[in-house]
Formats: sequence, C-alpha cells, structure tokens
Amino acid sequence: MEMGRPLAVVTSSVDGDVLRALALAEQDFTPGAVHALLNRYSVAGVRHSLDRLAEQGIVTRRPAGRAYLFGLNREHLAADPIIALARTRERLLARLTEFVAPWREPAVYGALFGSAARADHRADSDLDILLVHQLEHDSDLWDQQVMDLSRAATAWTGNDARVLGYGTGEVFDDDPPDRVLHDAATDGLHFAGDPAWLRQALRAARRHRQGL
Amino acid sequence: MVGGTRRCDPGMRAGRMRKADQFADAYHLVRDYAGTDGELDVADAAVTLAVHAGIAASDVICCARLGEHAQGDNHGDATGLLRKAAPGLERDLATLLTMKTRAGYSADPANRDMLERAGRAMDRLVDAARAANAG
Repeated sequence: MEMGRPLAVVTSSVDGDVLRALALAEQDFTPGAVHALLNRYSVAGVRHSLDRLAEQGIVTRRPAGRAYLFGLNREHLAADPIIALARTRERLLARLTEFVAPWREPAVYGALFGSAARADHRADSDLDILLVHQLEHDSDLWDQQVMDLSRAATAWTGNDARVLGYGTGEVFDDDPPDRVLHDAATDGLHFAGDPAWLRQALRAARRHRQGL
Repeated sequence: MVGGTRRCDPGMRAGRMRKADQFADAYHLVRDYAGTDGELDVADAAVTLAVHAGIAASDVICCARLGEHAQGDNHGDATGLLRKAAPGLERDLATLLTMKTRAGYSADPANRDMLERAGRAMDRLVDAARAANAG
C-alpha cells in the first residue's frame, strides 16, 4: 500500500485523497484549499470529487460568501472507517509499538524511516524499519523477533518490510555516522524506546569525535 | 503484495547447489586465509559470500521440497516460501537478508558478531540444502 495515500486500497481515484485530506483536518475547506493540500489533480477535478462525495452525504457543503466550504461529515456511518483508513500510518506505528513492547530482547530504539515516513511512498516500496538492540544481547532471539516483526509488518501493509539493525555501540562509535541514522533521527517516525535516544546518541558521538 | 515464484528444473536446482557450495567454501577460505587477527579486514567480503550462499541454498531447499523457488527481491516472499519448505530455517535466511539490507544502507564494515552469525546461518542453510538435494 501507499502510506501517504492509504485510501488507495479502496479507490485509486481523487475521491480517496480528498477524503483523507478532509478526515485528517478538523476544519472545512474551499475546493482550492483542498487542491492545495493534495498538491495533485486539477482544481476542477477536486471540485467534482467534493460534489460527488457531498451527494453521498459523507462530505458536508455549506456556503461561505460566494464560495462553498467542504468538510467530512463525521456523523456519517462511513466516517469512522474512512478516518481509520486515513490514519493508517499512525495505526501502523501503534501496532509496531505494541508488537515490540513484550520483546524479551528489547528494542532500545525503533523508527519507521525512508519513503514510508514521507509522502513519496509507493505501493511497491519497501517498508524501512530501523531497530537498535542493546550492546549485550542474545542475537538468535533478536533475529527471531526481527523476523517475526518483518513478517507481521509485511502482512499488515503488503509492503516488503526491511529491518535495518544496529547495536547501541555501533551508533555511538560510528565514525562517520551512517547517513541513514541522521535521516531516521530527522525524518523517522519513532515507535519504540525513548523518542530522543537516537538524536542524543548521535550528538554524543559527534562530541566524542570532536574530543569535547 | 505480489508473491513471485518460479518453477525449478533439475539443471537449475543443481546449478544453485553448486553456487551455494562455491560461496560457502569461499566464505570459509576467506576466513581461514585471513586468520583470527585479520578476519575483520575481510568481513564484508565474507558476509557477502555467506548471504549469496544462503540465498542459493534456500532456493535448493525450496526446489527440492516445493518444486519452486522465490523470484525477485522481496525478502518476505523468500522467507515465507522457505518457511513452507523447511519450517525454522527461514530465520537463518532472514538473518542473512537483514545483513544484506544493512550493507545496502551502511558504509560501515561488518563486525565480528555479523561475521559469526552469517557463517552459522549460512552453514545451517547449506547443510540443509545438501541433504534436501541428496534426498
């Protein structure tokens, strides 16, 4: 699936993206504002979609001066599943958190990174997951846990889950640090361990390199 | 999610077995040649050989047991198919594929832990492939 376009699992049309934008916003928009949020399709295409969805009752339409404002009708019977679909990425993170929580070999840090954490994730993209284990660890148990997580995440999304594993010592001692660690610290979506751990570890490593 | 598999023929199975043996022998040769003191200098090469040996061995096991092997670069498909063919061994393949992922992202050299784990996973897979191929 496409993490940035989760409603594409049920419709590949503009309607899915419009519904997602409205579901994630707690306000009403003009067609032009929805178009700006989506940054794709034409304004006319977005307007037609809004009209179509308003006919179904899932979108509200109210006049505001010479324009119309559109929003998700959150009382509609279909609203809850649409909101749930729109929040797929957050739900994936919650599931990942839940999955690693009981691990006997704990994850010091875990984050989704790469395209899955950004807007350019495609249906055939991998699902990149960074996991950091403790310095002293049972590697067989860790590998088993990682494999179980990969299998589960692949089943949840349809994307091939790829786990990038590091030990804590490798993050601290990395000289120069891998670009991917910086990317994960900057753009990654954290789901396990202390959210500040990676940034602090990379800062500590930098101070160590500079002899501070 | 598109699962890709390909039917095996005897020539293909024998060819993958030869590659698995060749890569596995090369892994041990490289480590023996480097010795304990120097093995970290050849760790990346050795781990890469172990990964290739493990993938080829997995293909042989799947061919022998299922008549098909995974095709393409999807790690989930490859471990999923091996799980059907030889439950338990998929963890060894997953260990090797995780190292392949790491090599793709990281410029860091492989460490001793990776070298050891890759060798163990590879040996289990290649031994199982030899047994499946002979059976």
